[in-house]
Formats: sequence, structure tokens, C-alpha cells
Amino acid sequence: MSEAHDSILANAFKPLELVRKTHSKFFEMWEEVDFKRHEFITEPGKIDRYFYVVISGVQCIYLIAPNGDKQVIGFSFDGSFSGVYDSFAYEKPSHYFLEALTPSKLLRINKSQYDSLFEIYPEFEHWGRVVHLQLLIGRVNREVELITKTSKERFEAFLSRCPKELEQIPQKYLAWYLNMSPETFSRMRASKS
Amino acid sequence: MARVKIYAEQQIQRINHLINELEEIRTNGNLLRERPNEKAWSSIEVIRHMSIGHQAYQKNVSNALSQLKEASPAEFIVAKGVPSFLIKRFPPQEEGKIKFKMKTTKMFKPVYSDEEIGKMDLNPIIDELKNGLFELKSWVEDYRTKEAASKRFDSALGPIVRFNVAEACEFILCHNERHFQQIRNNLKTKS
Repeated sequence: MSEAHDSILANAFKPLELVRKTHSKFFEMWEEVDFKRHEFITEPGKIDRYFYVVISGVQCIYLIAPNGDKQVIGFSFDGSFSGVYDSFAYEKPSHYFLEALTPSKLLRINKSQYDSLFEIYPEFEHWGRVVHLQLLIGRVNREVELITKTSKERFEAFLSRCPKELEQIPQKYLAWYLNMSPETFSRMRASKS
Repeated sequence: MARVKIYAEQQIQRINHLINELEEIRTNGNLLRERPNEKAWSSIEVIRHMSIGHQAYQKNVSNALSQLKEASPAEFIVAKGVPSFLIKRFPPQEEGKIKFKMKTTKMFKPVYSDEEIGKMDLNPIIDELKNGLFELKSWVEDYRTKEAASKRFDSALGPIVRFNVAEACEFILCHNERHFQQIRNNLKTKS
């Protein structure tokens, strides 16, 4: 594992202060994997066996509605966590696709390695609390945004916080994430520029 | 008549569902040997029939895939008129009732005597279908990033019906889903 990987992992797991000297077992657990553009990392009906940290690339988590439409739940990108967390945590088949929208490099650990972190390092309980709280608040905010904001307001809000990594993916995925048609998204983007 | 829209991701989801269900079907053991009535197929014969149906497309689909150009995934592919008509005939009605009997030509029939069915090893036949389902999924994953609609080939029904890869995969999948319903019905009457 390179120093660059150490730095990505240490940043991802903030507010913990992770360094090789005190957390060597943690840094040694991770395995690097590559996914091609449009390759599936997880599929509905399969169990997601890994917890990921993204080195590079953009991944999209979505489900397929009965009429075939894609419903985008979210994205992961450089430095963020990735995976289908409910499938990973409960070891149950996923309801979602996790797709590499661009060529992707990820670091991963399996479920028993992930669980062992909480046994080896008591401070991971604190990390778990912080991350789950962030996740919960993030999901509630998104739900409120979808219920209360117009498509134009959702578009504006998204632009104000859109990370630069998402600029490299096809617009239709961003449109589906904002619960609007790709045509509406394209129109709004054109009027903005 | 409205044409069928084919979504590659939905096909992958449906194939995974069948792969998982096949493992549940395997646990029924000797029940798979039993015919619901004298003239009907046992579940293991239905499983073998699905493999024969799949194998009839292996050569043409592989040839077509090797000739397709790379492309970004399309949101969906619209099936042509005749493939749409054929695909639409398959889905079972609500509550698992199968709409009408379809005639099976001789080349697609699994020919087993009652004696053979009684003593044959079931697992290789189930594994054969499982491998076929994995291959079907690999075809979908492959055509998804190619210009799937650009190349047509004869279906297993002959040159009267021609498919592109997406249509062929949908046809095979719908055919399998219909026969999985038949197995469910078989097992319900026997349990």
C-alpha cells in the first residue's frame, strides 16, 4: 500500500487520526481493485461483500423501477466511501446497481475485516456514530429537497454543491438523481450558461 | 401494436433473480422428477428444455457480439415489430396462470423416459441451466456497451424471425421466466 493510499484512507476516516505507526493493521487490510467504465461493482440479487474507499473515478448507485427507468440514489467519487451499504451490512442481496461511470480505482475491505476494525480500535465506534449521523441527515435533507423544492430549485441547489468530479459523467445521471428528465436538466443547464 | 422497450439493466436484475431462484428450486430434490400429470413435463425436463433453448442461440449471439462496435449504454432498445409480438406472448398472467400452451418443436424437447427421470443425477442438469443463465448475463453486459441494434441474425425459429442481440436476450429471458412459472406451478401441486 502506497503513501498516497494511506493519505486517501486517513482523509476518508476523519475525524479519526489514522497513521501507520498506531494503526498499521488498518492500513494493511485494504486491497486495490479496478473497474472499467460502465462495469457493475454490485448488481441487484447479489450480495455486496465489500466496503470501498474511492481512489479515483465516479460511481453511481441506482435502482430500476418496474417500468425500466433508472432511479439514481447517489454518487461516490475521489476520497469518498462507496458500496451498497445495506447489502454489505446485512449480507443480503442488493436491491441496487453500483456502476463505475468512469474508469475507477477503489480500495476495499470485506465484512469480517470491517467488523474487526471496531474490535481492534475502540475509536472506530466514534467514527461509526459520526458517519451514520452524517448519512442519516444527508438522506433526510435529500428527501426534503425532493418533496419541497421545484425542479429549478433542486437544480440550483445541486449546482451550488456539485463536486467537480461529477462534471465528467453523462448529464442524464445527474438528471435522474434530481428526479427530472434529461431534457429538462439540459434546458436548465443551457439557460444557466 | 406498441413495441417492447428492452432495458439491459432490468434484464440483468431479472437474470440474477432466476439464478437465485434456481438454487431454491434445487432444494426440492426428488420433487423435480415428478410430472404434474401424465402428459406434462416434470420440473427437471422443463429445466433441460430451457438449456436447449439457450444453446440454440449461442453461436449466433457470440458471432453478432464479436462484430458489434463499442458504444455508450443506451437507456433502452426498442424491439422491432415481430420480435415485440413474440416477446409479448410470454409473460404469465396474474397469480401465475400461464395464458396458453405453446407448441414445442421436436428439437427443443427433452426426451427422457420415466425410468431415466427416476434415476438421473439432477445436479448436472441444474448446473447446465445455471451456466446458461450466467452466459446470458454476460451477453447482456457485453451488448450494453455496444451498438446492439446494428446487427441482426436468424432466430432459433429460422430466418422468418430475425433478432438483434438485445431482442434475442429478451426472448430467451422471457421464455425462461415463463418456464420458471411452470416449475413453480408444478412444485405447488406436488408439495
